[in-house]
Amino acid sequence: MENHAYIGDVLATVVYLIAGVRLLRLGQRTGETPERLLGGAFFFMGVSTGLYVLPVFSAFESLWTPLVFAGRVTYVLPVVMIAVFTRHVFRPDERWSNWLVWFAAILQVSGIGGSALAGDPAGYSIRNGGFWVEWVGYTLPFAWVSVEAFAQYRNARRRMQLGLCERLVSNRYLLWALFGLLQASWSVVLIPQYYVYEMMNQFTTFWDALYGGITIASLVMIWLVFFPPSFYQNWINKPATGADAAAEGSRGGD
Amino acid sequence: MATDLFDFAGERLEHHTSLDRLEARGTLRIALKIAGLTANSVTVAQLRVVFEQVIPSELEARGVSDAVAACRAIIDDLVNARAFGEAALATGPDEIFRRLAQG
Repeated sequence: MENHAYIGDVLATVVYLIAGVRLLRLGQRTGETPERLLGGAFFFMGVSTGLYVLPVFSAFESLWTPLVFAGRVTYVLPVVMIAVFTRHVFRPDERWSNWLVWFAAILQVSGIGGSALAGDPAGYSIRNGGFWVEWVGYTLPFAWVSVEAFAQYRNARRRMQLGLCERLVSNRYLLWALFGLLQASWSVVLIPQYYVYEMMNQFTTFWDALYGGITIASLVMIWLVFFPPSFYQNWINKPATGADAAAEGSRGGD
Repeated sequence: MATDLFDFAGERLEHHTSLDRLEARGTLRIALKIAGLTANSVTVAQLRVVFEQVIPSELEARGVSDAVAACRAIIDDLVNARAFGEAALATGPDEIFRRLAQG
Protein backbone atom coordinates (compact mmCIF):
# COMPACT_ATOMS: atom_id res chain seq x y z
CA MET A 1 0.00 0.00 0.00
CA GLU A 2 1.06 3.58 -0.61
CA ASN A 3 0.59 6.91 1.12
CA HIS A 4 -3.21 7.27 1.17
CA ALA A 5 -3.78 3.87 2.70
CA TYR A 6 -0.94 4.33 5.18
CA ILE A 7 -2.38 7.60 6.47
CA GLY A 8 -5.56 5.69 7.24
CA ASP A 9 -3.63 2.77 8.72
CA VAL A 10 -1.49 4.94 11.01
CA LEU A 11 -4.63 6.68 12.27
CA ALA A 12 -6.36 3.32 12.61
CA THR A 13 -3.51 1.89 14.68
CA VAL A 14 -3.77 4.76 17.17
CA VAL A 15 -7.59 4.80 17.34
CA TYR A 16 -7.90 1.00 17.62
CA LEU A 17 -5.33 0.87 20.43
CA ILE A 18 -6.99 3.71 22.35
CA ALA A 19 -10.46 2.18 21.86
CA GLY A 20 -9.15 -1.24 22.86
CA VAL A 21 -7.50 -0.05 26.06
CA ARG A 22 -10.50 2.05 27.09
CA LEU A 23 -12.93 -0.82 26.50
CA LEU A 24 -10.67 -3.27 28.34
CA ARG A 25 -10.58 -0.87 31.29
CA LEU A 26 -14.37 -0.62 31.13
CA GLY A 27 -14.50 -4.42 31.13
CA GLN A 28 -12.27 -4.46 34.19
CA ARG A 29 -14.70 -2.12 35.99
CA THR A 30 -17.91 -3.89 34.98
CA GLY A 31 -16.59 -7.46 34.84
CA GLU A 32 -18.79 -8.03 31.77
CA THR A 33 -17.82 -10.08 28.72
CA PRO A 34 -18.97 -7.85 25.80
CA GLU A 35 -16.67 -4.92 26.62
CA ARG A 36 -13.76 -7.31 27.20
CA LEU A 37 -14.36 -8.95 23.83
CA LEU A 38 -14.55 -5.65 21.97
CA GLY A 39 -11.64 -4.22 23.95
CA GLY A 40 -9.50 -7.20 23.01
CA ALA A 41 -10.70 -7.03 19.40
CA PHE A 42 -9.78 -3.37 18.96
CA PHE A 43 -6.49 -3.78 20.79
CA PHE A 44 -5.38 -6.59 18.48
CA MET A 45 -6.75 -4.74 15.43
CA GLY A 46 -4.42 -1.91 16.46
CA VAL A 47 -1.47 -4.29 16.86
CA SER A 48 -2.20 -5.96 13.52
CA THR A 49 -2.61 -2.68 11.62
CA GLY A 50 0.56 -1.39 13.26
CA LEU A 51 2.49 -4.42 12.04
CA TYR A 52 1.28 -3.71 8.48
CA VAL A 53 2.37 -0.07 8.78
CA LEU A 54 5.83 -0.62 10.32
CA PRO A 55 7.61 -1.60 7.06
CA VAL A 56 6.89 1.92 5.72
CA PHE A 57 9.55 3.21 8.08
CA SER A 58 13.02 2.54 6.69
CA ALA A 59 14.30 0.97 9.90
CA PHE A 60 11.82 -1.88 9.42
CA GLU A 61 11.89 -2.11 5.61
CA SER A 62 14.00 -5.25 5.57
CA LEU A 63 11.42 -6.96 7.79
CA TRP A 64 8.58 -6.24 5.37
CA THR A 65 7.42 -9.84 4.75
CA PRO A 66 7.73 -11.13 8.34
CA LEU A 67 5.96 -8.06 9.74
CA VAL A 68 3.10 -8.27 7.24
CA PHE A 69 2.79 -12.00 7.95
CA ALA A 70 2.70 -11.27 11.69
CA GLY A 71 0.00 -8.65 11.00
CA ARG A 72 -2.07 -11.23 9.10
CA VAL A 73 -1.77 -13.79 11.88
CA THR A 74 -2.60 -11.24 14.59
CA TYR A 75 -5.71 -10.13 12.65
CA VAL A 76 -7.30 -13.56 13.26
CA LEU A 77 -7.81 -12.67 16.95
CA PRO A 78 -9.88 -9.47 16.55
CA VAL A 79 -12.04 -10.96 13.82
CA VAL A 80 -12.85 -13.98 15.98
CA MET A 81 -13.51 -11.72 18.98
CA ILE A 82 -15.86 -9.55 16.91
CA ALA A 83 -17.70 -12.70 15.81
CA VAL A 84 -17.95 -13.96 19.40
CA PHE A 85 -19.23 -10.52 20.46
CA THR A 86 -21.94 -10.65 17.78
CA ARG A 87 -22.98 -14.11 18.89
CA HIS A 88 -22.91 -13.16 22.57
CA VAL A 89 -24.99 -9.99 22.12
CA PHE A 90 -27.40 -10.78 19.30
CA ARG A 91 -27.63 -14.60 18.99
CA PRO A 92 -26.68 -16.10 22.36
CA ASP A 93 -29.12 -19.01 22.14
CA GLU A 94 -28.68 -19.95 18.49
CA ARG A 95 -26.52 -22.97 17.75
CA TRP A 96 -25.78 -21.81 14.19
CA SER A 97 -24.13 -18.65 15.49
CA ASN A 98 -21.58 -20.77 17.35
CA TRP A 99 -20.82 -22.65 14.15
CA LEU A 100 -20.46 -19.39 12.26
CA VAL A 101 -17.77 -18.22 14.71
CA TRP A 102 -15.85 -21.48 14.31
CA PHE A 103 -16.30 -21.40 10.53
CA ALA A 104 -14.79 -17.90 10.29
CA ALA A 105 -11.88 -18.83 12.56
CA ILE A 106 -11.07 -22.03 10.65
CA LEU A 107 -11.26 -20.23 7.30
CA GLN A 108 -8.81 -17.57 8.44
CA VAL A 109 -6.29 -19.97 9.95
CA SER A 110 -6.41 -22.38 7.01
CA GLY A 111 -6.29 -19.49 4.50
CA ILE A 112 -3.19 -17.99 6.08
CA GLY A 113 -1.57 -21.39 6.42
CA GLY A 114 -2.45 -22.32 2.84
CA SER A 115 -1.12 -19.16 1.23
CA ALA A 116 2.03 -19.16 3.38
CA LEU A 117 2.81 -22.76 2.44
CA ALA A 118 2.24 -21.83 -1.21
CA GLY A 119 4.94 -19.17 -0.93
CA ASP A 120 2.86 -16.04 -0.27
CA PRO A 121 3.25 -15.22 3.44
CA ALA A 122 2.22 -11.58 2.88
CA GLY A 123 -1.10 -12.74 1.43
CA TYR A 124 -1.20 -10.32 -1.49
CA SER A 125 -1.63 -12.86 -4.28
CA ILE A 126 -5.26 -13.26 -5.30
CA ARG A 127 -4.26 -16.19 -7.52
CA ASN A 128 -3.56 -18.14 -4.36
CA GLY A 129 -6.56 -20.10 -3.09
CA GLY A 130 -5.53 -19.41 0.49
CA PHE A 131 -6.12 -15.69 -0.08
CA TRP A 132 -9.80 -16.30 -0.84
CA VAL A 133 -10.30 -18.71 2.06
CA GLU A 134 -8.82 -16.14 4.45
CA TRP A 135 -10.76 -13.32 2.75
CA VAL A 136 -14.10 -15.04 3.40
CA GLY A 137 -12.95 -15.74 6.97
CA TYR A 138 -12.40 -12.08 7.81
CA THR A 139 -15.16 -10.58 5.67
CA LEU A 140 -18.01 -12.79 6.88
CA PRO A 141 -17.91 -11.69 10.57
CA PHE A 142 -18.10 -8.00 9.64
CA ALA A 143 -20.95 -8.61 7.20
CA TRP A 144 -22.67 -10.48 10.06
CA VAL A 145 -22.10 -7.49 12.37
CA SER A 146 -23.79 -5.28 9.82
CA VAL A 147 -26.81 -7.55 9.27
CA GLU A 148 -27.44 -8.12 13.00
CA ALA A 149 -26.96 -4.47 13.95
CA PHE A 150 -29.21 -3.19 11.14
CA ALA A 151 -31.92 -5.65 12.23
CA GLN A 152 -31.51 -4.58 15.84
CA TYR A 153 -31.63 -0.91 14.78
CA ARG A 154 -34.96 -1.49 13.02
CA ASN A 155 -36.39 -3.10 16.17
CA ALA A 156 -34.80 -0.49 18.45
CA ARG A 157 -36.61 2.28 16.54
CA ARG A 158 -39.89 0.52 17.30
CA ARG A 159 -38.95 0.11 20.97
CA MET A 160 -37.92 3.76 21.06
CA GLN A 161 -41.39 4.86 20.03
CA LEU A 162 -42.81 2.97 23.01
CA GLY A 163 -40.21 4.40 25.39
CA LEU A 164 -38.41 1.03 25.66
CA CYS A 165 -35.11 2.11 24.13
CA GLU A 166 -32.99 5.25 24.43
CA ARG A 167 -32.38 7.31 21.30
CA LEU A 168 -28.61 7.09 21.72
CA VAL A 169 -28.69 3.31 22.05
CA SER A 170 -30.86 3.03 18.96
CA ASN A 171 -28.46 5.29 17.05
CA ARG A 172 -25.52 3.22 18.31
CA TYR A 173 -26.93 0.13 16.55
CA LEU A 174 -27.02 2.10 13.30
CA LEU A 175 -23.43 3.27 13.73
CA TRP A 176 -22.27 -0.24 14.62
CA ALA A 177 -24.06 -1.59 11.53
CA LEU A 178 -22.29 1.03 9.40
CA PHE A 179 -18.97 0.04 10.97
CA GLY A 180 -19.60 -3.59 9.96
CA LEU A 181 -20.63 -2.50 6.47
CA LEU A 182 -17.54 -0.32 6.07
CA GLN A 183 -15.24 -3.11 7.24
CA ALA A 184 -16.87 -5.54 4.80
CA SER A 185 -16.54 -2.90 2.04
CA TRP A 186 -12.89 -2.49 2.99
CA SER A 187 -12.44 -6.21 2.34
CA VAL A 188 -14.10 -5.85 -1.06
CA VAL A 189 -11.82 -2.93 -1.97
CA LEU A 190 -8.80 -5.10 -1.20
CA ILE A 191 -9.62 -7.35 -4.17
CA PRO A 192 -9.12 -4.83 -7.02
CA GLN A 193 -6.29 -3.24 -5.04
CA TYR A 194 -4.42 -6.55 -4.78
CA TYR A 195 -5.35 -7.45 -8.37
CA VAL A 196 -3.73 -4.28 -9.66
CA TYR A 197 -0.75 -4.87 -7.38
CA GLU A 198 -0.27 -8.30 -8.85
CA MET A 199 -0.40 -6.90 -12.41
CA MET A 200 1.71 -3.76 -11.90
CA ASN A 201 3.66 -4.56 -8.73
CA GLN A 202 2.44 -1.34 -7.12
CA PHE A 203 -0.73 -0.08 -5.46
CA THR A 204 -2.71 2.47 -7.45
CA THR A 205 -3.73 5.87 -6.08
CA PHE A 206 -7.47 5.39 -6.65
CA TRP A 207 -7.84 2.10 -4.76
CA ASP A 208 -5.40 3.29 -2.10
CA ALA A 209 -7.43 6.47 -1.55
CA LEU A 210 -10.65 4.48 -1.36
CA TYR A 211 -9.03 2.07 1.13
CA GLY A 212 -7.84 4.99 3.26
CA GLY A 213 -11.23 6.72 3.07
CA ILE A 214 -13.11 3.61 4.20
CA THR A 215 -10.65 3.09 7.04
CA ILE A 216 -11.12 6.67 8.28
CA ALA A 217 -14.92 6.41 7.98
CA SER A 218 -14.77 3.23 10.12
CA LEU A 219 -12.78 5.10 12.75
CA VAL A 220 -15.41 7.83 12.88
CA MET A 221 -18.06 5.16 13.54
CA ILE A 222 -15.98 3.70 16.39
CA TRP A 223 -15.52 7.16 17.88
CA LEU A 224 -19.25 7.91 17.75
CA VAL A 225 -20.30 4.48 19.09
CA PHE A 226 -17.90 4.20 22.03
CA PHE A 227 -16.83 7.78 22.79
CA PRO A 228 -19.71 9.97 21.59
CA PRO A 229 -18.88 13.67 22.14
CA SER A 230 -21.50 15.70 23.98
CA PHE A 231 -22.47 17.72 20.88
CA TYR A 232 -23.31 14.47 19.09
CA GLN A 233 -25.25 13.11 22.07
CA ASN A 234 -27.24 16.36 22.29
CA TRP A 235 -27.96 16.24 18.57
CA ILE A 236 -29.26 12.67 18.73
CA ASN A 237 -31.22 13.32 21.92
CA LYS A 238 -32.86 16.54 20.76
CA PRO A 239 -36.67 16.31 20.65
CA ALA A 240 -38.06 15.18 17.33
CA THR A 241 -39.82 17.80 15.24
CA GLY A 242 -42.60 17.79 12.66
CA ALA A 243 -43.74 14.44 11.38
CA ASP A 244 -41.45 12.49 13.72
CA ALA A 245 -42.89 14.17 16.79
CA ALA A 246 -46.44 13.58 15.60
CA ALA A 247 -45.69 9.93 14.98
CA GLU A 248 -44.07 9.51 18.38
CA GLY A 249 -46.84 11.43 20.12
CA SER A 250 -49.53 9.26 18.60
CA ARG A 251 -47.75 6.15 19.93
CA GLY A 252 -47.03 7.43 23.39
CA GLY A 253 -43.64 9.07 22.74
CA ASP A 254 -40.46 8.33 24.68
CA MET B 1 -37.10 -17.61 31.40
CA ALA B 2 -38.39 -15.16 28.77
CA THR B 3 -39.99 -17.96 26.78
CA ASP B 4 -41.77 -19.06 29.96
CA LEU B 5 -42.87 -15.44 30.36
CA PHE B 6 -44.20 -15.39 26.82
CA ASP B 7 -46.10 -18.64 27.48
CA PHE B 8 -47.50 -17.20 30.70
CA ALA B 9 -48.58 -13.95 29.02
CA GLY B 10 -50.17 -15.90 26.17
CA GLU B 11 -52.06 -18.07 28.63
CA ARG B 12 -53.29 -14.98 30.55
CA LEU B 13 -54.37 -13.33 27.30
CA GLU B 14 -56.36 -16.45 26.43
CA HIS B 15 -57.88 -16.49 29.93
CA HIS B 16 -59.02 -12.84 29.96
CA THR B 17 -60.35 -12.67 26.39
CA SER B 18 -62.45 -14.69 23.98
CA LEU B 19 -59.35 -15.68 21.96
CA ASP B 20 -58.32 -19.33 21.76
CA ARG B 21 -54.73 -20.41 22.53
CA LEU B 22 -53.47 -20.07 18.97
CA GLU B 23 -55.09 -16.66 18.48
CA ALA B 24 -53.80 -15.38 21.81
CA ARG B 25 -50.21 -16.44 21.12
CA GLY B 26 -50.39 -15.15 17.55
CA THR B 27 -51.72 -11.78 18.71
CA LEU B 28 -48.98 -11.58 21.32
CA ARG B 29 -46.29 -12.38 18.75
CA ILE B 30 -47.62 -9.72 16.37
CA ALA B 31 -47.69 -7.16 19.19
CA LEU B 32 -44.10 -8.01 20.16
CA LYS B 33 -43.00 -7.59 16.57
CA ILE B 34 -44.71 -4.19 16.37
CA ALA B 35 -42.88 -3.22 19.57
CA GLY B 36 -39.50 -4.42 18.23
CA LEU B 37 -39.25 -7.21 20.83
CA THR B 38 -38.78 -10.98 20.67
CA ALA B 39 -40.50 -13.73 22.62
CA ASN B 40 -37.23 -15.25 23.85
CA SER B 41 -35.85 -12.08 25.43
CA VAL B 42 -38.89 -10.05 26.51
CA THR B 43 -39.11 -8.89 30.13
CA VAL B 44 -42.05 -8.15 32.43
CA ALA B 45 -41.44 -4.39 32.19
CA GLN B 46 -41.44 -4.55 28.40
CA LEU B 47 -44.55 -6.74 28.30
CA ARG B 48 -46.30 -4.27 30.55
CA VAL B 49 -45.73 -1.50 27.98
CA VAL B 50 -46.86 -3.81 25.18
CA PHE B 51 -50.09 -4.60 27.04
CA GLU B 52 -50.63 -0.90 27.73
CA GLN B 53 -49.81 0.55 24.33
CA VAL B 54 -49.95 -2.08 21.60
CA ILE B 55 -52.25 -4.97 22.45
CA PRO B 56 -55.48 -3.04 23.20
CA SER B 57 -55.78 -1.89 19.58
CA GLU B 58 -54.78 -5.34 18.32
CA LEU B 59 -57.53 -6.93 20.44
CA GLU B 60 -60.09 -4.38 19.29
CA ALA B 61 -59.16 -5.15 15.69
CA ARG B 62 -59.97 -8.81 16.46
CA GLY B 63 -63.37 -7.95 17.92
CA VAL B 64 -62.47 -8.44 21.58
CA SER B 65 -64.76 -6.40 23.81
CA ASP B 66 -63.32 -4.27 26.63
CA ALA B 67 -59.76 -4.86 25.50
CA VAL B 68 -58.33 -2.22 27.85
CA ALA B 69 -59.80 -3.91 30.94
CA ALA B 70 -58.51 -7.30 29.78
CA CYS B 71 -55.03 -5.86 29.29
CA ARG B 72 -55.13 -4.23 32.72
CA ALA B 73 -56.00 -7.60 34.28
CA ILE B 74 -53.15 -9.29 32.40
CA ILE B 75 -50.69 -6.61 33.58
CA ASP B 76 -51.79 -7.30 37.17
CA ASP B 77 -51.21 -11.02 36.60
CA LEU B 78 -47.73 -10.32 35.20
CA VAL B 79 -46.76 -8.03 38.06
CA ASN B 80 -48.05 -10.50 40.65
CA ALA B 81 -46.25 -13.44 39.06
CA ARG B 82 -43.00 -13.13 41.00
CA ALA B 83 -41.39 -16.03 39.15
CA PHE B 84 -40.23 -13.74 36.35
CA GLY B 85 -37.25 -11.58 37.23
CA GLU B 86 -35.67 -8.80 35.19
CA ALA B 87 -32.30 -10.51 34.69
CA ALA B 88 -32.66 -10.27 30.92
CA LEU B 89 -32.35 -6.50 31.12
CA ALA B 90 -28.75 -6.67 32.30
CA THR B 91 -27.66 -8.88 29.43
CA GLY B 92 -29.87 -7.62 26.60
CA PRO B 93 -28.41 -5.81 23.60
CA ASP B 94 -29.84 -2.42 24.70
CA GLU B 95 -28.12 -2.58 28.07
CA ILE B 96 -24.86 -3.74 26.51
CA PHE B 97 -24.86 -0.96 23.90
CA ARG B 98 -25.79 1.60 26.55
CA ARG B 99 -22.85 0.47 28.72
CA LEU B 100 -20.27 0.32 25.92
CA ALA B 101 -20.19 4.10 25.56
CA GLN B 102 -19.12 4.53 29.18
CA GLY B 103 -15.50 3.68 28.50
